[in-house]
Parts: sequence; structure tokens; C-alpha cells
Amino acid sequence: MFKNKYLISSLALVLLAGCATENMGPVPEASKTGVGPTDAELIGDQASTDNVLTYGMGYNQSRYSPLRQINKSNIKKLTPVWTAGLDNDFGEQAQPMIYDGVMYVSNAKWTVAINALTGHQIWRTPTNFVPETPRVVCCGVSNKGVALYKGKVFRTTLDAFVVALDQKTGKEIWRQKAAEWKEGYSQTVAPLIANGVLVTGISGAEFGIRGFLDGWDPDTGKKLWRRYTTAGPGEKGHDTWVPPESHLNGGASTWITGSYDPELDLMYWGTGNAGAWNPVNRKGDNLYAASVIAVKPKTGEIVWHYQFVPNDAFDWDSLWELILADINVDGQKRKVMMQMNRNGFLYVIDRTNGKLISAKPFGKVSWATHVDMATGRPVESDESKKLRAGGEIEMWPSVRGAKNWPHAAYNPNTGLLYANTNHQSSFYRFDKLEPFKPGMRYQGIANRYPPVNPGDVVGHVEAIDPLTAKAKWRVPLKDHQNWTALLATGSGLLFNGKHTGEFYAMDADTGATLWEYRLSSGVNSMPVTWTHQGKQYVTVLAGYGGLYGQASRARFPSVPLGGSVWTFALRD
Amino acid sequence: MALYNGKVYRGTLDAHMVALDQKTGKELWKTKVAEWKEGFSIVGAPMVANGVVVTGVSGAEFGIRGFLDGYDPETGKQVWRRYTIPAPGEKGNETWPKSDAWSHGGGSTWITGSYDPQLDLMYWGTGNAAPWNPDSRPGDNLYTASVIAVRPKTGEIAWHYQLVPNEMFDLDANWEWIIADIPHLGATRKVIMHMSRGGFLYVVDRTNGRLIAAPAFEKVNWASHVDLSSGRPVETALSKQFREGKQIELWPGQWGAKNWAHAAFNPETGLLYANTMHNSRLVRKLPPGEFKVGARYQGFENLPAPREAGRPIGHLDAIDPLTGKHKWRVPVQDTPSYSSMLATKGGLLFNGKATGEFTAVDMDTGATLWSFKTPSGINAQPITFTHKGKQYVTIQSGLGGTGVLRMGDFFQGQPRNGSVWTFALTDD
Repeated sequence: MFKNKYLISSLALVLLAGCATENMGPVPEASKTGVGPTDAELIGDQASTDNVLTYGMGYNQSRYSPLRQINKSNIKKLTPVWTAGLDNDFGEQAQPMIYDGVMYVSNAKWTVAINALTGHQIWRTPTNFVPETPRVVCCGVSNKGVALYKGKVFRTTLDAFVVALDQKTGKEIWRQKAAEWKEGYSQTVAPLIANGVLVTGISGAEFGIRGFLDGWDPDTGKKLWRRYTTAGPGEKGHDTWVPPESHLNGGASTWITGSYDPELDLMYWGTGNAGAWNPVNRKGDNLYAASVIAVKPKTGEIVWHYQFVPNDAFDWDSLWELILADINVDGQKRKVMMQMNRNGFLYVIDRTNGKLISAKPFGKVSWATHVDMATGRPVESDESKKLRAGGEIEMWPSVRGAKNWPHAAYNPNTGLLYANTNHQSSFYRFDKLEPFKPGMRYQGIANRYPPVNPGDVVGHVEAIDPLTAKAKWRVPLKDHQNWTALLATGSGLLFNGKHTGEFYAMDADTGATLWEYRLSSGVNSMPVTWTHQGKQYVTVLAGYGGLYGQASRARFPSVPLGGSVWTFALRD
Repeated sequence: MALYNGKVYRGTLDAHMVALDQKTGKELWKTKVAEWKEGFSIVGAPMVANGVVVTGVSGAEFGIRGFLDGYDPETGKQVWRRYTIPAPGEKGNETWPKSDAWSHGGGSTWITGSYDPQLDLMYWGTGNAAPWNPDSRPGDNLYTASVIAVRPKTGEIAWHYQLVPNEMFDLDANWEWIIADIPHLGATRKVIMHMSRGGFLYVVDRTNGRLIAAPAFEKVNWASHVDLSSGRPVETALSKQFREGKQIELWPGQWGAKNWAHAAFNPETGLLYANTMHNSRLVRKLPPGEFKVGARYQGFENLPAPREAGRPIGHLDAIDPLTGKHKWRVPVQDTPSYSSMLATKGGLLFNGKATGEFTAVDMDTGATLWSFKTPSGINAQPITFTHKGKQYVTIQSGLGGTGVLRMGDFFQGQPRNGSVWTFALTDD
């Protein structure tokens, strides 16, 4: 009897492993030294469901897991198995990472290691960020997550330090200053390990910073390279800044982790809005603001770039996830990257060379009529001309974008993107731009939002075809937007969250809600799914915060602050 | 908290009583109970008995003079105050020396009393005498380390029973006084039961304060037994050594054989269920120094005692109240539990751990049947209730209280934020 049972469960494990490898390539060998993850494990992260090692659940950032154990027919049995408190009221946005049965979670205050099976805290290490730093943080004090590599945990701090901790003890191994927070620089970005280099971005394009990427030696913390994202004197693209010194406060932050193609050995990082928002002091295209840059991780060299918005005057950050996929375009398999841009267009780009393949609007857009496929440039509308002439316009989408950072997921089997989108305009005009002062807001814009009335549709959850940008289905969001990254699974589920605290699972074919559980605070983070000894788990952080949380606090009076980790599994 | 006639009542850390509107949470009245700068604070839940809001007070480590207050629930006006230490001229003051020792003699009331509506009597335990060192206060020191039966309308003390005359080991008698009618020598007796900090389980006739039984339920070495005719503990030679100023290894240690974490009583099994402690301390009296208002007033050295490997630090116990004997006990090796117990007719005990687990235990055997880890440690009081016929269980998670301070460095770095957890059976 017992023998049979054992056999059956072994068989189930084999089948599960079979599912896991579908479409995903071979499962990488685990680190033999026990000091990992290794490069091979990072590259094979999506196939190896026992670990979660990369931002976006795979270097391609598709936030897709092949797991099928939790599915539409048994989702009602999904139950919390443990929770862990985080003692943090600033809000939780991070993606948890899991390696070897240990979960690593970060927020602005702490880095925490937790036993992934019991929820017991193993260690936690304070970041000790300078308490005055939030003054230069535009959009919610937070942190997007850690990176794991060869026995260390890497993270950024709000006051712009890059830190390496020991995975086992949480003890700090090295700490490097990335920039001076008093000059408007801050960090919330999760680092990226690519080809053995630790790469970090920067925030601060609302404070007139000059954006950059940094490459660090993960072992020692030695800085290997810096690549500024506004082109300086002697560099290609510097002529797009008029006057030439305007690049020094030109923005182009890098606050969302790039994706990485190990075969091409290229990282893809989006860049933020140009600074100041008001373009009065910077004529020209302003490279590489509001762009994607393809960067060599070993050297920081920019191999190609594509600029979404030349002379950005709208806060059109182009930082959101650049999802890598190989898709059929006109009968041909193309290596592409896809981005649902803040500006309302869904860009599909050849990731080998930066050539634009498609750019269709996925939301209501009034600032441009379309993107010219020959030049790759948006064709600004009469509304935008009115804006540039000094008028106030009702701009679609609002400056918060047709989609903000909460990441989309992409299911390679359906070929669809799934995302929480925004449906909102704002009244927008240029205002007097005060002279640049380090560490002070540098925007020169007047922006106000029309009131939201009860029952108003303010966003959607939607399934979108990347090449047409048409929704296969869309579920309207009334009263409140969702600011949670989506997670798609091989069983056709989407996991999503609300600021009111509901964590829920949707049918990826229809958008119907199949399961819901209210957590202890709002959800504005990044769910993950993983396995241990053949059992599937889902983990998400609760903890009201972020830009939308901060800006809308008065509309959520009954949602308590306070961070915690929640792990779910099917009950027996 | 206490709820009554549309209001929510609570005490505040800085010793005020507050009434809130149940619907809106708006404050309706706020009355100062005592001056926190003089060492008074409130952590106990108020009690509504016979239409009066009654609150106790904390501070016996700071040389307060303990009391109970009765307030008008509508207006917040004080109806009466009953000091737990009689002033000169009052009955019982003769148990204090002719100094001002009575005026800072302790006798706090930081755990809510129980109430018998038929007898119209509240039963409140009182705290340790102050300072802990007894040299400056020869005498029995009424009503410290006692239980007092009090009329809620007037604050009148109908009777008292002192557990520990001239108390000197921080032997608070505050813990729950569980009301039950139990068979004893062929008769049903109206009793109150109390698993004391000092290690004896007191069963007292609640109509008149007469002691019925006081067996030890844990290892005790400060007294050999409680004399049932006088109701007084018989101190051992070890206690005499302590009085002489020697260091002794005290059982139970100063944290008590049981601390405040409340026991549950199941009238069907006739058993008490509790988280108990099994721990000794090396203690010695020290000069307490001059009494200073609002400052610690103890005079006590309290050091860890050697502990042989593998010895449990506590137990989950099912105990017969009249004999103190265990029907079963489950040893605890990791961290002491400061969670109250909830017993259900369904044969379950609900319990919590400082490491965060909320557990359901088989009442007949002590076996753990179910467990869920909450975000922080549990040192609270589970409840169960129904809504439309469905049963729910609720507990708060949030590491804190006296327990966490004593659990070592490990707990200092553990998450402490509070949350409320409600459980029910799944539908399938």
C-alpha cells in the first residue's frame, strides 16, 4: 500500500517536471558548491520552478510560470499556508526571490530572509537609509527587490547605495555609494545580474538628475563602468541636447530593472522622462531620454537605442518591462521585445537591432495621432501643439500613463500580454520652470486630475495582442486602479491584486475572477509562484504604498498600512 | 476593551479611561484615572458590572498605591475609588508599619476581575507589594497579593483573601479568577479558581472567601504548602534565608509558575487548561533605595539560574483544580507561551506561540491538531464566535508584552507588527 503510494507520488513528480520543461528549455543544474545561484541557474530560472532568481520570473521578464498544479478547477482550494510580518509602513512593492528553500524579501527599511516553507524569519538587516531621503523620492518610498548571485544578496537603498549581504547571515559584505541623494538621486530598483556583472539603475528624473546605469563587480563592489543615459560632450547623441549643457539635468532615469538576452548578451533598459518635464530649457531629441537602450553588461556599451518620445514633454517614462519573446510577425519568427509604454502605445521592437516592428495604441491616446513606422517617431497631435504653444490640454493618457510600472505578464502559449492598465486623463500645461537647484523638484508643469466619481471606470485588466494592441478581453476597474504586477501560469491563471487588499486569481481566457482572498493591507507588488518537493506555492507581499497609494490615501481610509509576506498553496 | 450601551470603553497607557462611540469610534468622554508621571498606567481591560465601568491600574514596580475605580458609563464621572491598600484609620491598615509604606505599597489591579451577577460581587486579584524587598514593610500588607470581592455599585470590599502575606517574590495575584460551581466533598460549591504566580492553585468559596484547596501545580520551594485552616502559606527555610539577605534559587522563578496568560476551564471535564512555566531564578533582596515618585521601586536581584540540558521551560497543562494534578502535560522546549487558552465544547484548545503559530490542540491528549503561522508572535487571547450559524475563531498576532522582553536576542529582531486573524472551516 505505502509502496504504491510512493510510486504514484514519484510519478506525479516526473509528470510535473515534464510540464515544467515545456517551452522552457532544459532545467539548469543547481550549484554544486552550494554557493549560488550560478550564471546557469539565472539563465535557466524560468524552467527551474523551485527557485525564483530573476526579476520578472525569467531574464525575459515575461512573469510567466509553466506551473499547472494550481489550476482553474482547484483554485478554490488555494489557502494561506503562512505569513510573515515585515514591520514596514512605507509600502511593499518587491518581488520576492527564492533560492534553496529561502525567500529573500526587501522593502525600503529591511532586507529579510525567510524560511520559504515555514515563514519563520532567518535574518533581517536594516538598510538604515538617511531619514531625510524621502524628500527626493517622487513616487512612494519603496524597493522593488533583491538580486541573488553566488552566495550574496544585492540590493539598492533609498539613499542611493548598492549593498551586498551574505545570503546565510544577512551581514553586509560591501556597500558602495551610487550617487548623492542630496542631489536628487535615489534608488528603489532591483539590481540585475547579467553575464557576471551586477547592474543597477537610478531614480530622480523629477529632480533634474543625469541618469545612468552602473556595472559593479559582484564580489568586491568595485565599479566596472558607468553609462550615462544622457549623451555628454564627445558622445554620439550629444547634439540632441540644445543648449549642450542641458544634458546635465536631462533626466532619463533607470528605475525599472532591465531584461537580458543571454544569447545576444544584451541587456534592455528603458529610460525615464527627460528633465525638466517642461522642455523649455532643452531643445532637440534629448537622447537617450524616453528610450530603450541595448547595453553590453561587461562594458556598459550601448549597442543600439530606440527613442520612443523625442523631446519628451509629457513625463513619458519608457522604463516599464521590456518583455523578450520570439513571436511570429508576418509569418516569420522574430526576436522581439515588447513594451506597453506609459504613453499609450504598445511597442514591438526587433531586439537584435532596435528596429520598430509595431506601435499601436492600447489605450486612449490624445497626445499623438500615431507612430510613424518609417521614422519610428510619434506624430504629435494638435493637442500637443497647443501644449507646446503654452496652452492647457486634457491629455490622454494622464501623466501617470496608460500603464504605469506594474508589470505585464506574457504567456508564450497564448501569445498575449496581460496587464493592469489605466484609463484616466489629466489637465496638463507648462508652468514656470524655476532654475535648477540640486535636490529640488525640476519639473515646470501644472497637472491636475479630473475628479473620480463613484462607479467611474479608471482602468482595466486586459489581455492584449502585442501586434494589434487589441484587447482579447478587458475587465473594467471601477473607482480604483490596480497597481500590481501580473503573474501568468501555464494553467491559464492570472494572479492580481488591489489596493483594497484583495489578492485574486483570474481566468486568463476570459478575465473572470475565480478566487479571491483579502490580505492584511493593500496589494501593490509582484506575485511569484514556485515549487518545493513538487508542491506549488504562490507568494505575494501585502503593504499599501507606492505612487498611487500615496496619491490616493484619502480614498482608502479603511485600508491599514503595514507590510507582510503571504504564501498560499492548495489545501489537501 | 469593554462594550456597553452603544459605547466602547478602554484604558490608555497614560492612565485615562476613554469612551468611544461604537458606530464611529469618536471619543465621547475621556477621564484621567491617575498621573502617569507618578508611575501609574493602564493596560487591563475595563469591566462593566451592574451598570458601572470598573478599571484597575498598573504600576506596582513603581511604588504606586493600587486601586479600583468605578465610572458612570454615560458621563465618565467617577462613582467611587477603592484603594487596595487601606489608609490609616481604615480596616487593614494595621497590617502596615506606622510609616508611609502603605502609601506606595503596590497592590496593582492590572487584570480584569470576574463577576458573579447573582451575588453581585466582582473578584479582582491584586498585585505584589512594593517595594519587592519587604524590609521596609513588616506586616501582612493588606490587600496586596490578595483577591478582593467588591460591590460594583459602591466599591465596598465584601471579603478578601490574601494569598501571600508580606509578599516578597513579586507574587502578583492578578491572574484570572475563574468562576465555577464544582463538586467538592459531595456538595456543589460556588468557587473561584486561580493558578497563582507562586505555583499554588487556589480554590476559594466565592460567597465568603474561605479557602477550599490550594495544591501546588508546579515545582514550588518558597513555601512547603498552604495551611488550609489559616489560609496562609508555610514559608520554607529557603524563604527564611532570603529574608536574611541570602541569594536563593527560587522555584518558581519570578516570572511565575504561570504568568498572566489566562487559563481556560471546561465545566464538562472539570479541568483547567493553561500555559505554565517551569523555571527558577537566582534571587536576592537588595536595598530598594529611597522611594521616588515615578521611578522603579523594587530592591531585588534577579538572575538566571543554571538549567540542565533538555529540561522543559514550560508546559501546556490540563489540571484538576482540587488536586493540582495533571491529566496530561506537554513539555515546551523552545519559547514560553504567553497566549491565553480558549477551550471549546468541540474538545479543542486554541493556543498561540511566540514564534507565530496559532494552534488547535486536542483537549483530551494535548496533541497539536492544526497550526498556522501568523505574521508575528502570538501573546494574545483567542476567541470563538458564530455568525449565521457558522463558527469563527479570531486571534491577534503581534509580538510584545512581558514575554518578548525575556526571550533573548532572537526575538528582538523578529517582526512585531499587529494584525487580526479570523479562521473558519473551509467549505469542502
